[in-house]
Amino acid sequence: MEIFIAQLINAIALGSVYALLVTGFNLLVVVGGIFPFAYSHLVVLSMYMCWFAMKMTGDSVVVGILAGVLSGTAFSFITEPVFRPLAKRGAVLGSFIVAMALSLIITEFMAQKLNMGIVISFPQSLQGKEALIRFGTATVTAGQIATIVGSIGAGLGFFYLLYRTKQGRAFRAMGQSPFSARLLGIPIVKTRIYAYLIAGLLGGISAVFLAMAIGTASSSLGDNLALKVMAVSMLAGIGNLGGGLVAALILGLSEGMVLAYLPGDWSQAIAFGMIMVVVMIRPKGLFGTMA
Amino acid sequence: MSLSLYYYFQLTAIFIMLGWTLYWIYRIGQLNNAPIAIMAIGAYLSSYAVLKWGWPFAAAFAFAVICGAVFAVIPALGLGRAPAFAMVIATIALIFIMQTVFRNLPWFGGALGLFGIPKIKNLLWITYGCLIFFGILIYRFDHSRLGRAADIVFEDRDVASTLGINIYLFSVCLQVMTGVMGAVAGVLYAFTIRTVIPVYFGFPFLLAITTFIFVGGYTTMWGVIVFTPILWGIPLILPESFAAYRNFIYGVLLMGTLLLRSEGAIDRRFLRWLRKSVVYAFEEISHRWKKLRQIRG
Repeated sequence: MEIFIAQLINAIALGSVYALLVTGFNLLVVVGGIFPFAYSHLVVLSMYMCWFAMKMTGDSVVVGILAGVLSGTAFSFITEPVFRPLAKRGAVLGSFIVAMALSLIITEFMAQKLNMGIVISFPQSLQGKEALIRFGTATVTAGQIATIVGSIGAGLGFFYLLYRTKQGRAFRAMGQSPFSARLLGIPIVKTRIYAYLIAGLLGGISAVFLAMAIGTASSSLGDNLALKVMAVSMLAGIGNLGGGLVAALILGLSEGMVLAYLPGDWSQAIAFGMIMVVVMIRPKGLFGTMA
Repeated sequence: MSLSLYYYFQLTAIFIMLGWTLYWIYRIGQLNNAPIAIMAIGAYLSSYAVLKWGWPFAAAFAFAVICGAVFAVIPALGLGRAPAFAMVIATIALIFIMQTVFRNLPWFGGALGLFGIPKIKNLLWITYGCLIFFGILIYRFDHSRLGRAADIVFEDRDVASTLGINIYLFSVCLQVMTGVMGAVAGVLYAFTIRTVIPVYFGFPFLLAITTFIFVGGYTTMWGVIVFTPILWGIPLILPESFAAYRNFIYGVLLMGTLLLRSEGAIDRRFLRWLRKSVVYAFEEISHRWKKLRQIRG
């Protein structure tokens, strides 16, 4: 029972980070008009920046968090001009392949140049391993609570922006129809840039929470995360912002439970197996696309 | 023939076959990565049959290809009607599922894989025989009614349906055919490298093949033939310090090609120009030769 509770909390923490990642991903799909496969790789690169900043400032958590968040925003903003011509001509599959190429470049850069390709380990001060709540031998750590609360806060903040602000209306209008949005006087390029900035911000925040939750990062983490984010997106329905949150929690929970109770490395296979089954039975996802 | 040249020729042929698997199914606008997963099945099953059951190569080859074809049918039936992205993601997921399965099953050696696969005499001839066979098949497909049907499906699926093309059946058949090609490539790969480990059939491998097809040109089969030896060979002749950046070079080339020349280096317009130029050159040469003979008497 205690193992179940511990894994459940772990799974919720992981699921909440996935939810944040998927939200940023779906924002770029809906508003950016692209398929940002390299989004997760940029998040991992932000994790590296967070680690470097902490190393240079004597493990300062504040500096690390700022570095992670700001670098995530900056990296996302830098990629906007690369995808702009593809978004203009509606080449979504082309944008996917360009994003795959970008992910290859980022992965190679991390493997060859950052920390000589060695796995990085985040300081204990960021990971927050101190137990705050105990259930027998199972514990809930400060890092897990911060991840869950922070992800919920960031998610709520984003949905407030999306449904209660003028900019959010512009995002939704572009998601429905860029042509109509232009006719209504919405500045397309500016709105797209804002979408990249906000997606980058969500990515930077996810990078910090991932550093807390996982504690390590490597060049290959980007590929794993990218597939999980795409899988969650497919499970929910591509571009479905609300559905993505639920699907992320489902994936996080199933992964956590599989890790706890099945031997070996089956969690990935089961997660992807779920996705394949959903894709074959209901290609538009559980909640439909672009809601 | 030196060993390095042998591996270069052998792996070039295998990568051309894999590039063709992506090209063939992309003729109808679907990016299907399942052949890489089926390549793993072909490699593992053929190696297992030879190493553990003591089968001869020919029997193991046939067994692996049949299993690959059967396995290709299962996702094909479900993905035949799937939207483009659903197929991409589902087939990438399939690659990871296969990797995880082979990594966790002890009969296939786990993470260490299978090694000590025996050397096959005349494997180079077998590989190029398969390559020529599949090349002729794809060439005949491209220059037939099926090729024209594929063009219409690529351009506009609604028009294709209106014209009576059964897109679902078309997709399923192409997925199975490319699955067979993937299984053949897997068998040949296993017996070339003589070791099979799960990490061989992963995402970086898929990205390399994607680079060959999209940089070479995805609208014709010739782009893969021309560019695979170049893209595969260049890192081998570069100094070691540059060769380590192979994936980086692939990524830059892929991005640059898709942004600047989305159809790739060799597209249909280029082939038409080449054909016209060759015909014109022949006519010029023949005309001048006739004139020269007239002058000489």
